[in-house]
Amino acid sequence: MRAGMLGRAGLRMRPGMLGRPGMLGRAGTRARAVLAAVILGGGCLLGAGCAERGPERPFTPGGDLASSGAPADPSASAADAPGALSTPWAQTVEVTPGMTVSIEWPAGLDAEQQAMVKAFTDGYVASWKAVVSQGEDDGYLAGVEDQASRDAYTWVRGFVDRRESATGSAKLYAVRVASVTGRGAEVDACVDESGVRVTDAAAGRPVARQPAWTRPPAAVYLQVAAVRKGDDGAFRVRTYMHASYPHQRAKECRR
Amino acid sequence: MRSLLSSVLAATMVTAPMADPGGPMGEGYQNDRTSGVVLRNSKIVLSGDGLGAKSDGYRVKRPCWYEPGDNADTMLNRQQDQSVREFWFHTHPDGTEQDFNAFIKQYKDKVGENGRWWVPAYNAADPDGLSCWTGLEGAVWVPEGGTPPGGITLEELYQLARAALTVPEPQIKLSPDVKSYVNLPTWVWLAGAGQTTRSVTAEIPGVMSATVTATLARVEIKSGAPAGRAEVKDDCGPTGHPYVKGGAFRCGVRYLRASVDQPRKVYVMSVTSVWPVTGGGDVGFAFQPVQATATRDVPVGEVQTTVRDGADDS
Repeated sequence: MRAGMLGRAGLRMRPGMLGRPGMLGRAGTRARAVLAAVILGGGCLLGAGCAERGPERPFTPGGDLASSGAPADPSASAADAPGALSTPWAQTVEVTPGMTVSIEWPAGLDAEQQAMVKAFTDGYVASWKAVVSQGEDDGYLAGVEDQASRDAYTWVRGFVDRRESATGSAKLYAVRVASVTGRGAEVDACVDESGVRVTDAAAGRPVARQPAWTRPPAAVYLQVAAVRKGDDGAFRVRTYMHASYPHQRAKECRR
Repeated sequence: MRSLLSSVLAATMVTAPMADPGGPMGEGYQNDRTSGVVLRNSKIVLSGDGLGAKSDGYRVKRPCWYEPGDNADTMLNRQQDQSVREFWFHTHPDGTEQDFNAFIKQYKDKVGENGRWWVPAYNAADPDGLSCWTGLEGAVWVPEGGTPPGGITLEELYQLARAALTVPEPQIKLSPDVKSYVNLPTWVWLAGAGQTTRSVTAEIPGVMSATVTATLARVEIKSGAPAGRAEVKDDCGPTGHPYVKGGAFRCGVRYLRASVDQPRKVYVMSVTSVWPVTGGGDVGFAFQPVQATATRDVPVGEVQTTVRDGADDS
């Protein structure tokens, strides 16, 4: 007998499994909205706060589920993209006016790998959205489970409890699917947060004492996300790991 | 769907308070890239004098597994811990009391049954360990005496012991030490080999145990010279033979050509210590020897020498 699982989407229940809270009579509009925001590019939907550089965008999400009200089919996000990424491309996601996340997508990812990577990148963007909304936007919790949900929650609460927010720009690059085993995968990404400034949430001004992670070399690190494919076909981050300077794996992110 | 493990871990792991919010998420990697086994979320205990040196790269066939964990009562108590409850509601903002009770019910249902919860663990030193572990379920209930699909086996425990088994890198001693000459026997032996057996035991306390032992058996020498430029004497025994004036030359290299035309003007000699592994044989498991290799640069000069029978001992 396998123990039940608790998810957050309107998922089918299987014998011996428990659905997430939302599915027990509450899998309505909010669930769809949450999934849409998380699954489709961390809120970066076509024509909405996104900017791309480089080659013509080869990746086309299946539409704005949040606005269209279409069924939130997680497996239809990246997996239904028309073709694998054949060339690297850059995407800029606006978290809020004044804060962006740029993502350098690698070439050669097939549809499944795109979904794995998006589970991480969407979660990263959604976490910043939670910070700048002072916890009001809790969509980030839909893309994480297990230890990662606690880490992400604690991370966001750290800002909220201190009434702090953020502005500026963060970068994700050298993203790769390092390993795939069955339902599980390891996604590695370099993060550069030297362009982020922590602000006083009420005043909107940068705080006087900026944390160490906003300054090199600590601002550049390796973030590892272990993602798992659920019974609904969606990947969620199950565990985060990282390597910070002076760890060799963090040094490999310098450029 | 989110897995059960969240609550399994919540009762055992405490998130350290952050001085400054932000920055990287999750646990940090340690600078340990030489170990063959780094156990995570596991109750397996590794011990023995074969731990701690550099891994020879042996990889277990499956770097993740389920291993026996709590019984029904203990698991239920952990899940009913207040901190679990609090985190559950933090991370399930839409969750209701009814939902949480349904979550707890799956543990209550097992109370009174004979069996254990088996939980996933993995070898973090394996490049596929994390992804393998991530693909497993959060926990599975197994009736007494049973093993779930993917449950660790005795063979896999032996494999872990073998992966953790290391031997010291050989310290090559040569005579002559700094520079050799054409036709001059270059004696080779190992220094500081210490004890010639190394063991590692991998144990799940109270469940099963596996011990493997490596015994230093021989030394293998590669001259580093192109074919026809050297003669290797390989009657070395476990550690070679230190130079003895007038002794028989049985272990080493006689270079026949100078190294002046080689990169950096040296031959790169390699010496490998070979340690056959025992353990598990009585239950049908066998392992390849552990091997450790070191290299030495050997410049070989062009001095003309006259070699007579019985005079090749210096």
